[in-house]
Amino acid sequence: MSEVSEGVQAMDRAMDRAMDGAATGGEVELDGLTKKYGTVEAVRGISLNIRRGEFLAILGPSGAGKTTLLNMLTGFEKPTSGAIRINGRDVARLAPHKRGIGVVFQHYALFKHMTVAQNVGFPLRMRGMSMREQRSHIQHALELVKLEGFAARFPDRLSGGQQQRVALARAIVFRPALLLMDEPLGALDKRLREHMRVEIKRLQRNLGATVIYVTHDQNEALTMADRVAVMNDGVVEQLGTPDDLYERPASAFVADFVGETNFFTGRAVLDADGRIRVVLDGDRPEHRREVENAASLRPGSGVEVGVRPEEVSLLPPEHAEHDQAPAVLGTVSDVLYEGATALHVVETPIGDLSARLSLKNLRETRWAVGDRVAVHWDARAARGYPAADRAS
Amino acid sequence: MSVDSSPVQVTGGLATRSRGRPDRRWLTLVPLLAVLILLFVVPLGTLLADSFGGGQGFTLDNYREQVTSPVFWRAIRRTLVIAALSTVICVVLGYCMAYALTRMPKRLRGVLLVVVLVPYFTSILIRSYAWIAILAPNGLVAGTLKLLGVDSPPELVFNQTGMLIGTVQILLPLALLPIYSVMSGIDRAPVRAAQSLGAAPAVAHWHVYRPATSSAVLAAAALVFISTLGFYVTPALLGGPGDTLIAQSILVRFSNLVDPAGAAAQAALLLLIVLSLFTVLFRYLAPSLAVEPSGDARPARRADRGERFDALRALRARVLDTGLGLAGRLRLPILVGSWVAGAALLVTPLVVVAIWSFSDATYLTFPPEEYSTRWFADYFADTAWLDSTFLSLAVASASAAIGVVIGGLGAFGLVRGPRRARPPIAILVAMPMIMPPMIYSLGFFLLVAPQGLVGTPLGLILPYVVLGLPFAVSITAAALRNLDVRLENAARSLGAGPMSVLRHVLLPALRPALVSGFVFAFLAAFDDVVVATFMSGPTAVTLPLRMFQDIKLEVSPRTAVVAVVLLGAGAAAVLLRFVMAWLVRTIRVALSRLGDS
Repeated sequence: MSEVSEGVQAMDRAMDRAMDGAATGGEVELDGLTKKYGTVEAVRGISLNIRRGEFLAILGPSGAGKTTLLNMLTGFEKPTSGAIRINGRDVARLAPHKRGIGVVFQHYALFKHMTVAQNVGFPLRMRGMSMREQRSHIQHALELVKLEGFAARFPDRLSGGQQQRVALARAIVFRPALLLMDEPLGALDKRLREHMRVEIKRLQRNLGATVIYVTHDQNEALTMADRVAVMNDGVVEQLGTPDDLYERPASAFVADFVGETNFFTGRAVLDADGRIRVVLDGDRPEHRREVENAASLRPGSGVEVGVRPEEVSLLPPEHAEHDQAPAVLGTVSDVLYEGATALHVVETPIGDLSARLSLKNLRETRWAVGDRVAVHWDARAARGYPAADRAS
Repeated sequence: MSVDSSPVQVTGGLATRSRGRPDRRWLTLVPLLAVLILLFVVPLGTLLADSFGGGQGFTLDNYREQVTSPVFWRAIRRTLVIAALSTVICVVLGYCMAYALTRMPKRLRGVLLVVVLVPYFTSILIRSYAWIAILAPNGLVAGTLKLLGVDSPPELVFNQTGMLIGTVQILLPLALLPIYSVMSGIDRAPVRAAQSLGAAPAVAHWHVYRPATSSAVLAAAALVFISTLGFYVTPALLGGPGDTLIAQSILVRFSNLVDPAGAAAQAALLLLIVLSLFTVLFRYLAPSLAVEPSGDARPARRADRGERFDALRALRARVLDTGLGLAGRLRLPILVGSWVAGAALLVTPLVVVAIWSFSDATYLTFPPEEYSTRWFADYFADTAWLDSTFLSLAVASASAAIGVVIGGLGAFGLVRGPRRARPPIAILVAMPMIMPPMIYSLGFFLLVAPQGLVGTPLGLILPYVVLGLPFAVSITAAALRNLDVRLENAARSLGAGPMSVLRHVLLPALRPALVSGFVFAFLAAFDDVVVATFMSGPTAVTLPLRMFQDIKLEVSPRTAVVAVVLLGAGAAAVLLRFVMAWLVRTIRVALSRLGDS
């Protein structure tokens, strides 16, 4: 690794001469970025700060505005309003070729009639670098993506994973201040995808590159990113670290989109002690449940409560009044064996829910379809959201 | 379509064919090959034989005479210059127009494609004739210039300028269409990638988009160039008396100088040029001729050429950059301008012909001073013209029908038959399309003149079958290639014999292809002047030949009338087809409702 970073430093110096001192790892600031098509707002006032060397994933379902945001970053769409500042300079109105952003496109978009070396050398050539100078940079970039020896090949003679690496090398060879990746692993099979995750992450760390990584795959986002911005309906619903996102989803949408969540509807009530608790629809009215995020709820209004399946435990029915968190009685209607875990679907008065139990939990009691159970979760594992909260 | 007499599996793939029973699908190729060899290869052989002295013993005198004649060399040089100029203009204009098409909203694209296609399907003779009305001293352009105060307008017709304008107009669709079809399949993502990597839009286009079009551009250039080499009608009508091109030179030698052997020698030399070009450019031409691509049609790949010419390269890059910078800034004017010029070029002749047909004058003035339908009345009262019309319709229909049957069978053999025979047969089939008609007609005439076929309908039908075959075969073969062979296998496995497969599976699936093959073959025959020049007799003058002679005699609105009648008939036929289809559907629906209740 030290060898690699030495090479990187040598590259940096040479590159500094060639491209007016631009360096990898810029600071990026999106400021109120908005795009309207007629009256439809595809992206609605997105503001984000991305630190030098940070890996930020943008996660969202299709139609969330990811592509529009990406096109504004690359310059193929002009923002209706707002700024994109890279190292303090607003590039929002610059043509794509003047932005100096490295982009890895969804299906790589390699130049079929050029060799690997010509593909990787293209951005250098566009910057007026001589063939002689290009050569060492191309060499280094190919080493970084472990494609030494492929320089003279044409892209259609490479596997999907190799093409992906060429696209990556081409996007980093000119030391862009920002590296954008648009679903870069979407076209690869599962095993290769997992391998490339590690590779990309390693490369990003070594280069100290600032990365914006657009994906609809939550696993990619959670495993690779320093921070994740979850987009929905043209806005960022939540920006946070992967564990923030999973353990403390800020909205019902995020809880639903990232990981699995059981949702129950209910009503917020103000208790005598001044705390807000929730009564679930179908539950006994005296079950006033504590939830996280209670401060966001208005007493008397509708509430959605989300509980992750792995936070749900099943007990024999006689344990119904187990401890301070009240249980609800139900019947097991399905058991799906998953290996390390088993997913239990339970019919209860508050709705069907799933409980993911680990093998360890199941060692003592195994539940079968038709068993009566007491369903129970820790108050800290339940999060309440205002019912109107969910946009989709 | 299968003439296979064997009751066993004949239409299946290798896997399902019974062992020990030979695959006889190649038999469907027999009629096609017979026609091509007897009516195409043998005439060309006759031409060559006659050029070397024929029955009188071997001699090179005919060649010596041509090669030492400065007149002949001037014709060759003139032809090459005109061909090169029209190729450059057609390809550049076609490229810009095709690219503009791909960047347009769908609906506009549809309209503009019609603007290209309608002239493409209109007779070359009629389009050339229209240019006289536009470019002549008392024609449209001169008249317009006079209104603008230009008293002595430049001479635009009956010289090489007119020839060039006419040729470009006629061949522009031939360049535009193949380029457009390739462009519409190009992925734009690499262009965006190039831009994100620092290439300005024009630079990205040059380095990334243009290379993807290069084989199509070369193919278009080759098609236009080779077609121009054999042009006869357009230069004969729009060129001046001294501007003879090679095809005219052949005819002059044959009919005016009564020197068939000398004409044959000239034709053989032109044949040599065409064949060498065809050989060199074959791999680019293959896709446009619907010859099954036999390999990589991409231009040879250039790997890194080292660093030796860095300085030269840098200079070239700088020049290119300046050019591309300019092109980038003028992108919109260039694209819009190409369409304004292209559309004007393509459509004006048709509009002019339509207006001119209602002229009252007996000579050429455009716009007409007075309007009447007298020329229509004249046409419908003239038995000679009507006879020619019916003769042409009959001859073209007969040859197209024969061509579709033989060509359809042959296409089946070509696509489903032995793999190794495909490339040579496909090339043979494409040859009549590439061959300048002057060469072929002369060869055919030399072959059949002793047999007394000249001046008979059969003498016209036979060569027209050959001219139509490439269209019938290539269109049907393309449709067959897209047809899943498993459909035939499924039918066989369900108990259908070869004839049932043909009737219930192949014919219904291929009907659109056969119909368009017929239309193209019909037009190839119906539009011909050159074959008719050799094969018509006093009692059998085809309509195009009569028009051609009429125009050569005096430029009157008569041909415009014929053009309008033909265009009207064509439009009516298309309309009728839709009306019929609609009627059939309505009746079917009504009948099924009746059955239900």
